[in-house]
Amino acid sequence: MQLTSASRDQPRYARFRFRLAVIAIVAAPCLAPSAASGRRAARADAEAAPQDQSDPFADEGESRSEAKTETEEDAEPPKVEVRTRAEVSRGGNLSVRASTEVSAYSDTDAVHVLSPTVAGSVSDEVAGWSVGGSYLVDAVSAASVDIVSTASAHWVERRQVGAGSASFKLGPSAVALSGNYSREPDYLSIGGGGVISFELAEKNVMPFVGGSYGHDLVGRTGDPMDIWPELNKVSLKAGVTFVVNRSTIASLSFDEIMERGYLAKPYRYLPVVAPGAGSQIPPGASVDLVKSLNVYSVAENVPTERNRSALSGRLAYRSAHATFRGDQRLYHDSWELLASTTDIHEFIDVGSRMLVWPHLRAHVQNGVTFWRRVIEQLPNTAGPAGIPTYRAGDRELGPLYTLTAGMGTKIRLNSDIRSPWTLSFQVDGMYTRYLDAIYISRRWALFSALGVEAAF
Amino acid sequence: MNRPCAILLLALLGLSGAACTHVPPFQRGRLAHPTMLLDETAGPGESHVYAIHEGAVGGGAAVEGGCGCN
Repeated sequence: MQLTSASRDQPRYARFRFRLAVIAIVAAPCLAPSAASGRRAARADAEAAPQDQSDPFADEGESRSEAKTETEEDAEPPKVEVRTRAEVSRGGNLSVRASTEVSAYSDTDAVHVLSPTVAGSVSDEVAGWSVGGSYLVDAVSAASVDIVSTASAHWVERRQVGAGSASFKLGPSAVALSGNYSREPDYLSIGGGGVISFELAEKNVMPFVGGSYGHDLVGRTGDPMDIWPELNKVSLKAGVTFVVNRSTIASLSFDEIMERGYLAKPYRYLPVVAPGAGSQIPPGASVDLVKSLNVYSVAENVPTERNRSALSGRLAYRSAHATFRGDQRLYHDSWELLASTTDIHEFIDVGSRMLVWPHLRAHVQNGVTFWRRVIEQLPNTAGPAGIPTYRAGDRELGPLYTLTAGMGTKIRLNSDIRSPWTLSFQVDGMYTRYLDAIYISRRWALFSALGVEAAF
Repeated sequence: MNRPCAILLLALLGLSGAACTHVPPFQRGRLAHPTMLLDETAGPGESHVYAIHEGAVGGGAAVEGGCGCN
């Protein structure tokens, strides 16, 4: 029965296939050139500036190129590719980008932050230059336990940050300059810096050196700015980015940051207890317990010099449809704070327009040498009891660990791979455990960000 | 920077360089993917949260802004 039916339908099906073939042959010359030139242009861009691409999902044809066999990849590119690259460079490569991001932060210590950001840039990837700028506003609302414990009122504050950057190529080297200005009612920061990198061995090895200088004024809201103490920062950076193999790139860098000036927090007052009473205040002790043993309060005081060193490694590995990205930082400073920070992303392609990534981060540190959970008066038989010269109330100077886990996604909204419009969203949950601090011993926080970027 | 750190850094740089293979430009299709850029993965808001939460800095942008955490 089936055989009979099939044989009866066969001529009709053959005619249908024949018509399809005719349509395909007629339409092919109209469709093929544009598709082929799109692939060539994308490939040419990748070759012209493989390290400078910043387009999310810029290379739709890349998934096809990734599917190529190793033998095909080993072959030299045909000459037509070189000609196309020249055409690209003549055709104008000015790229204008605009982006906005709104991020929100909220934690169990009653701190809430909303941060809208706008940014823009103009670049020419073939000529090798770019200029950009950004503006960010932080709106902070806080009623944290530190505020409650000092009987201070809940406060709301705004921080404004403007930043600018420029980069250009000088033969086999590239120079990137940046500067920023940050202002809030009790803090002013002005800084600038630059990094120069060199392309060696056909961009297989790119060493870089850089530095920056920052001048900050740290004060209290309402105090005249001319009495705000200063804080100066000098940062030096050196490292190298290198191609490990055709799927892996890595970098290693060393940062040395020298801070001189006022490094304490001007609002922080620490409870002082009688000699020997500190043992009655365990980690996470309540405000009421601390108040019951508090003799008086004293301002935070830390050294006026701090040298900070960080050794950082980054690695990115691209498989057929995903990129693993791992960052590791080892940190040490002259206050004897040791820290390790590990950050991992796995960027997964979901089709040609969508990217999703899980994110994990772990940070662990000890405390600075002068860290004390609670300040005890020092016994003094010859006179009034003293207190330690250096004392810190900033929990981030004590021993702690923070675990972060989250997800993110980026979606290209249009089909134009040369001028993509993208929408991104991420959410991260953070858990911090304070191992030797009063008032709180753990904090949960949620961070989310929604962004839109457009290229023209 | 003290001498042990400098020696360690130079040793790591030397080892990392020796571990690499030369990849010509026409074999860098995967390396050209936007996710292979070794820049900051965190945006401005996220970077600021880490700067406040963690006692360590470095390894990121060369210039850092104000505190926002007095």
